[in-house]
Amino acid sequence: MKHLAIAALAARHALHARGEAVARAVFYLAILVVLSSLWRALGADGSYVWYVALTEWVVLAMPLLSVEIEEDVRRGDIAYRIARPVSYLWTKVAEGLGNGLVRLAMIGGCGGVAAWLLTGTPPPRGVLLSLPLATLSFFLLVLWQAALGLTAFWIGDTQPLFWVWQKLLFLLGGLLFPLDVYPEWLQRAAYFTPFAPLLHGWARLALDPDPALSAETGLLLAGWGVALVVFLAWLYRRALVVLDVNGG
Amino acid sequence: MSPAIEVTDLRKVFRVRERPKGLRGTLRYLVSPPTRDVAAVDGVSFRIEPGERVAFVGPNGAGKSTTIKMLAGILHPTDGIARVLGFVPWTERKRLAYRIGTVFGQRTQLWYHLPAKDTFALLARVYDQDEATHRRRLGDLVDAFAVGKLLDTPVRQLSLGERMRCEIVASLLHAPQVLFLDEPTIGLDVTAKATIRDLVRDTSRRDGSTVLLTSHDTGDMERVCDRVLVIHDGRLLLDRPIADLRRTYIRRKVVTLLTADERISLALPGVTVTETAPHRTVLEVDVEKTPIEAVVQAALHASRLRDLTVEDPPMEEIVQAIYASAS
Repeated sequence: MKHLAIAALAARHALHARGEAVARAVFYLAILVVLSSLWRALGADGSYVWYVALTEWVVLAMPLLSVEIEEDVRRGDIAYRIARPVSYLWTKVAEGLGNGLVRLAMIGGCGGVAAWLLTGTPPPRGVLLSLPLATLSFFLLVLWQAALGLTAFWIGDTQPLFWVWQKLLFLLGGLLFPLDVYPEWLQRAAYFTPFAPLLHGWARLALDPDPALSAETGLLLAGWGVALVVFLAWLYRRALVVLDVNGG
Repeated sequence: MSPAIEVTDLRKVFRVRERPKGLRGTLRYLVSPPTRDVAAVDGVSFRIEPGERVAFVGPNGAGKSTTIKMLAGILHPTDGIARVLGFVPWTERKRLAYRIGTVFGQRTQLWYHLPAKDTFALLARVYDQDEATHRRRLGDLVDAFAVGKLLDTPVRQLSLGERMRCEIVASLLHAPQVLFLDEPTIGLDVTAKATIRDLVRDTSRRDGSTVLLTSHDTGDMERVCDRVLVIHDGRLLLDRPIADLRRTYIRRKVVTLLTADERISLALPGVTVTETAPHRTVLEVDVEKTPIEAVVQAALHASRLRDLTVEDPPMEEIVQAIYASAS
């Protein structure tokens, strides 16, 4: 319940700090315009634009939790935030979710209207089918961000690691193109990574609204989610040991 | 009565990585970085009774923050024992967290774009405070800290002094029995500093809460605390009442005389004129050589006095004298 209250306040905070969400929404719209022109030039139908609208939507709504955690570690704020009767790690995750869900709604609204106008067609059934999975995927992205942020205890600057992770997500997650257009070996490799279900896994429902695909992605996301939660809890315990050895 | 804080031979050693010079050294650093042990706190012992207000002073790197972090349960000591309100902080951190409060001058716990009352409401949830208790406690603190008009203002629109008052209210909401204050007045103007000091002291007196304060500002110690612990190189150098500290380490007093005559001259041993203006003379008096009464008598003999003030030198000088005598 405490974390729910933290998430709710973070959501309210995000509603009052709209500048960043607006900037992201503008960037999102620009990307949609460019990519829809590209897909049109390739002769693809509107469902590909809906695919990109979905993947970009979740990626652009993602809060930069890794940067926040890194700053807390660098400035020493983490030491003081630990001295509270609530876990720092899950507080940050709750803040990220509350903040991110508001952005998800704000940017999603813009993107939905823009994709509709650009394709001239309402969202296909698969888009609606993908929304619960998109939300689950968003939750996992927040967990990933928290894990990347916690590495600041060891490496100080998380940006190089974040950069690599982000590019892998874009490439193996199929941010701009569905994995189906990749060479077969790369497709196969991508499916073995946690990145494919994070974006392509559910966004492909815009192209093929198959309930079996939806169930498969749901299971994969749930599995990776459990693994990430366990990993994060372990990483956090290790981080506290590092804090203890190296000082706050 | 059991003490609020009891520390015995507390020690904390950090392992610091050292980057060797040259290519070979850099490669070695990447594979197996050489380390060096640094004792940030080295056998510190003290006891603080409930309701005491204690200043914990020392230069940067003396071990103040590390000690406070151990007392708040954030760091484990390498050696030694500490109990805060009967709890061992590093093994019972969560239980202790409900009973201690922390204020750190340059760090905020208030949500920037929201009114402070929203943070207060969240803290009530975090500290498991029921609605009625929260309302009563907040009401008391809002009156004491005069923040009623600020409650609905987004934090980003508050001045630093106003924000600091709200920060302290946030830290006191769950009625902590021990309050750790780390540089609570840093960056504030003179008026805001005075307000914060008076509020902290009065709240501690009213609630009976224990205060452990670190600061570089001697005013914080003098206005808030009754006792001072001086730490240097991880070791406790001095543990005295503030008044006693003044008596022991202050040989000099600053005497300002406002006289009927435009200028006066006092030829006394250990008395130096540091400033003169028409009808105003500032003297530095070594009280070991000439007591204050003798200076006043000589001044009365030289001219009619309109006003007279006797001041202690700033605490920085006292602390420097302690360091000097210890080294």
